[in-house]
Amino acid sequence: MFTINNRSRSRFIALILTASIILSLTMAFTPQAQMEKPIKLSFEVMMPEYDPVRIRAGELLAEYAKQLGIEIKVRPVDLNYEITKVRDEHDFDLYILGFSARNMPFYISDHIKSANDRPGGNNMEGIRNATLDQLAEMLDSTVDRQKQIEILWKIQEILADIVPWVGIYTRYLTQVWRVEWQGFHKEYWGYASPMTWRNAHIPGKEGGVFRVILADDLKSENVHLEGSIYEDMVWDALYDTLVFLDDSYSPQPWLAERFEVSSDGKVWTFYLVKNATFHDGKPITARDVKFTFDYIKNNDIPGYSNIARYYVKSEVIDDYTVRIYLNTPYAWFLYDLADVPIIPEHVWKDVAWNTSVAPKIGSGPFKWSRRVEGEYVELVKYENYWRSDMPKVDKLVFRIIRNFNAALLAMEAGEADFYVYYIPVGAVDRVKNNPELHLNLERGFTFYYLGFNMRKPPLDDVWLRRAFAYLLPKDEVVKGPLQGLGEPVTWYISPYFGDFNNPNVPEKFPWIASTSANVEKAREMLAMSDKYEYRDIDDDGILEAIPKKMERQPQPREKPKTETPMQTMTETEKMMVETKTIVRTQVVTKVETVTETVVQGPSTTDIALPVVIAVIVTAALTYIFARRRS
Amino acid sequence: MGLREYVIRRLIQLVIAIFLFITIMFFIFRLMPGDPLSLVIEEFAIDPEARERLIKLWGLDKPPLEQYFIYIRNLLTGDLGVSFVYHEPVADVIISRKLLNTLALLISSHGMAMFLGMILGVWAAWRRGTAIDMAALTTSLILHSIPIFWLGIVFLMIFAVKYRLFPLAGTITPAKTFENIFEYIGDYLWHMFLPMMTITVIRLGSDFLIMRNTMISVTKEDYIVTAMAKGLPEKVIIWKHAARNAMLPIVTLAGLDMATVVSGAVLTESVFSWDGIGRLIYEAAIYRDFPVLQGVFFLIVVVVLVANFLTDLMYAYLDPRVRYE
Amino acid sequence: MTVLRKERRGDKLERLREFWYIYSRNKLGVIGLAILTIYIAIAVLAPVIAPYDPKARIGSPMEPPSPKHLLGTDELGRDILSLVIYGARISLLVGVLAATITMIIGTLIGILAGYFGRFIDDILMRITDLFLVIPGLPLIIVLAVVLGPSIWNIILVIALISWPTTARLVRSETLSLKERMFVNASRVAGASDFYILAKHIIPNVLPIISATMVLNVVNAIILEAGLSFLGLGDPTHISWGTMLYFANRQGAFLSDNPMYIIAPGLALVGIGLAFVFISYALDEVVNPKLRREGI
Repeated sequence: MFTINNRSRSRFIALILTASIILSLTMAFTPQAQMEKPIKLSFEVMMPEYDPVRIRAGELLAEYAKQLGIEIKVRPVDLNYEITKVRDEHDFDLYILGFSARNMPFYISDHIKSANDRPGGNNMEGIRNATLDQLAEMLDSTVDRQKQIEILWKIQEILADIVPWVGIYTRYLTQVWRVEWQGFHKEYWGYASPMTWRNAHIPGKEGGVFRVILADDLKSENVHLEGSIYEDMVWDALYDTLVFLDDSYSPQPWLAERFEVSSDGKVWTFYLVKNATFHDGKPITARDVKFTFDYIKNNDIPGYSNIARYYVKSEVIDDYTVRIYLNTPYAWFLYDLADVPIIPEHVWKDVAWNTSVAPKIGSGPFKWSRRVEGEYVELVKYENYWRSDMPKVDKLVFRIIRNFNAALLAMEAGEADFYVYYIPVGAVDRVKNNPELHLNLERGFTFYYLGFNMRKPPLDDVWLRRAFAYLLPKDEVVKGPLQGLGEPVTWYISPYFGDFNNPNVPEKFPWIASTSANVEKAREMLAMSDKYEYRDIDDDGILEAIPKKMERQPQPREKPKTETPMQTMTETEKMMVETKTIVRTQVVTKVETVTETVVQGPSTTDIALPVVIAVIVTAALTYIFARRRS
Repeated sequence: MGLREYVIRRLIQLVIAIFLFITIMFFIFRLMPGDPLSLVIEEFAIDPEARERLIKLWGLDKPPLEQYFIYIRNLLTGDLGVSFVYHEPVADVIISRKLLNTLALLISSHGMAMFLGMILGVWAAWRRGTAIDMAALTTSLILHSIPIFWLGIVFLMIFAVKYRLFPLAGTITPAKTFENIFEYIGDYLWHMFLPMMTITVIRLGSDFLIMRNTMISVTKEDYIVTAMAKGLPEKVIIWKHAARNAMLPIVTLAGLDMATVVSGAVLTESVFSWDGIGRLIYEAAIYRDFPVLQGVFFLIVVVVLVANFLTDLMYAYLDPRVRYE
Repeated sequence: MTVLRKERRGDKLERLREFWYIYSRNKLGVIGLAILTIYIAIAVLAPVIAPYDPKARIGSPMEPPSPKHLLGTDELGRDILSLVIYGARISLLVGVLAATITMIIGTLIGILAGYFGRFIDDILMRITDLFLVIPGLPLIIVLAVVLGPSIWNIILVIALISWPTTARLVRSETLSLKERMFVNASRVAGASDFYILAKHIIPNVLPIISATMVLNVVNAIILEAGLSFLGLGDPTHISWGTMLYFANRQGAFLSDNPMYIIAPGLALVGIGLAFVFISYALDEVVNPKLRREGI
């Protein structure tokens, strides 16, 4: 114990105080000082070069932006390059991507957390929003579907408000099948689902061969290795899962005839069907289920990283009952389960997870028959499948045709029954006019969007981003390059996911609802900015963003019906009280103010305020500490 | 300098060339942005941690120089690495059905082009200046200026779409059970016909030109003039004396022209969905499957360089006029 | 050859006239030149000839050919005829520029290797051999990915791949020229290497490789088209290759408008043909062995 006199103590406090104040002041004013210079509104928009539609979308955007005085250079690049620049280096202005995971309810939290605003993280736009952070965390630990929906609705409204990215178009899944076939069921990738493989049949006909065209070959013969979406389609037919996702996208019992979850959301009990066997005739028991999950966990298999992260252990209660323990309540556990193939312990116990040719003794409705590399995969009906009414056909053949023109012609020629990938837009009429073919236009969940680098002025201005939203000629993209095979996107979570979609977004946020380019509206948006003045100062036809002096004026612009977010807020509030998983009541009161600051875009106050608070708190703490000493 | 020194010197040059080549290739490939996981990002949500784990597994987290030394070390032990996409040793990925498909396509089409080119070339050269020669010449020049992929598409439009004479894609009828090997081969050839014709037609143009021009030079050589003076029958002069000597350049050139051959393969295989090495190269570049890229390029270069080396040796051995420079 | 070597004394005009006399007797050469002239005229006068602005979306998407749009419209509703006409610009630009760069690199390396011989020759030729065996298109694919798709990168990459053939040819010509009387005479008279190269070697090598140079233009144009077709070109520029790429991706050959595929392809064949014919005629002019009567 050393003694300390009052003078040196107060000096110390003073020192800390001054240091903190200087620090907070520099932090508060440096960004502004940097932004003093006018910035030319000239941006580069990157998109993958292989997709004509996205290139055209970029060109159309550039056309309208020019009318407003914004210069946009369309830069089609190699996809890898784009992703490196956007995700890993944050070196971009605008980009167009189709990122399916962006609008999946169970992945969206990954894309909005401030913590993921780092090189390699999925928050590529640089969203830093306290409310979103809290909501994302709540979302991941909420098991109740109703509550998930409430949180997601709120998230969608905030996103629509701050516009870190804006959807352009969604492409229909244009799946084609020959009219005589029935029994199609929807899942992730439209009708190419496990239930379709189990149910496809020609009415009035026993057996038969169901021939499906895939656009890519298997990369390996191992269910655990990442390949393409097509690979999953094959494994879906070969392996059963504990649950499956039904047409309305909610998990339903399958190999587990029922399941229950403990009140804390961490312990799941699954009751298996009793007559299920693997393709070698051995019964599927709780031990196999336990083995499957242990195997994933022990090998840390990248394809199931969520399972590996949340799974703790399993307990075999009896032959057909298994209990799974998670380390935290995990919202999307059942959804993940719909992707976990149950593998036989007696076959896999000595097999390395990443062998390229692994055993293919499955648990599903079809058995592995043969494969010619690059040509086809043939599966045959498993006679002893536990559902005696399934599968309906004798054989399931996946034929590999990479060229989609060729694939379609094979369909026409009757050489195949089901084509699961996009058909070229030029060929749509041909399919529609063919009485033998059924063209199913399904609103998929993949969507294409324009992302902004919010770290880079003047893109940090929410009004500029809203202006961009108004400039997007979504309808023209859909009508032209897409030939009507899609829809303009006016949402943040696809209506494909049913209740998860917040239907109020378009009416509350007109810039998200806008589907045709509206240069006038975009101009109005720019005029409302309190961050920059948008003016062409050098008369070159391109606007400059001139930073405005940052007086803290109370919200000079009209607010976009903020009453409604308030309503949802109270619901969220309720829910948060109910949800005992994270107790953070003070958050609720704070949320509204945070949303306020968010509306005007990230500003210097966002940085300064917390710093000042931190300084005061530290000072207070030191003071108390000092008092106690003496 | 004697033959032995010459061989040793050439051998050293060969090794240096191969070494240089793989070094250049290695670093060019590493210059490509992105990693093997970037491409699937539009389909899957990739967990950043899982990504890091895979990158580590592939050894891509190490500095390029270290990766290079590991690569060279493995190469010396005959290990080409493991494909990022196929999760198989690169040798297994390359030496597979794909390689056979490509070989079948290239050998048949180039063989056919060479054969037809020779016959037509000899024949046209002999009738130099006639209308037939002129027509053949013009045709071959036209063929020379057609982009191979476009011809492939046109063939598909006509023979596969309009008249349905040939299949659109693939190497065999999928999931068909063949009675015997002949039926299989028949099916395979039927599938191969259009891509083969595409390459043949394009190659025919240049093969014909080479043959014709060589023949014209040859016919001015003394021994042909002598043979003609001796009053030998025309057929004997053409086929026994002239053509045989004129064949050398076309055969040598075919071996040397690997660059064009592989390029043609990439495009043709892409148009006809022919599962071969050309597509493999393209996909490996797109997926950043570095081990496979390095493997394929290594294979091509070693084959070509060694073949050149052996040809040079043969010449040196057979032809005393070649100086061991 | 004899014709062209007289240049030390003969006046240039006379030489040109003689050249033209031989060249013009070659029908293919004349046809090629005519086609090329038409293409150049189209490229230069594109704004005048094209019925519409190629970037303007004036029709509905994917219209079949009609009197209004002779070749129909593309998926954006743009006039295909106008696109094809404007495409001539990029294709010519790529072809000529890439061939020029190829020629510069190839000639430089070939002459240096051939003239100086010894270890310079050894090193340069090993490098040339190396480039000669590298499969062109795959390397271009890789380089296109590394450098990013821009028309300039494509030109550069094509040149980078195509120079070795030229270099080899130039080297062998230089080797034989080096031993000629007039070169030896200069050397004895005390002329510097640079003088000999500039005055004797280069002027005599260039005509001989002219046929190859022209052929390089065709190869460059076709390579650009192939690259663009694979989706590795520069899609923001209208070239025939990118048109074919879009047409193929949009399924044009199953649609009502196959002209979307046929037209750019034929345009490519036409320009290729022009250069091939010219190259062939040049070959005959500079290699009298090949010259025939009456053509």
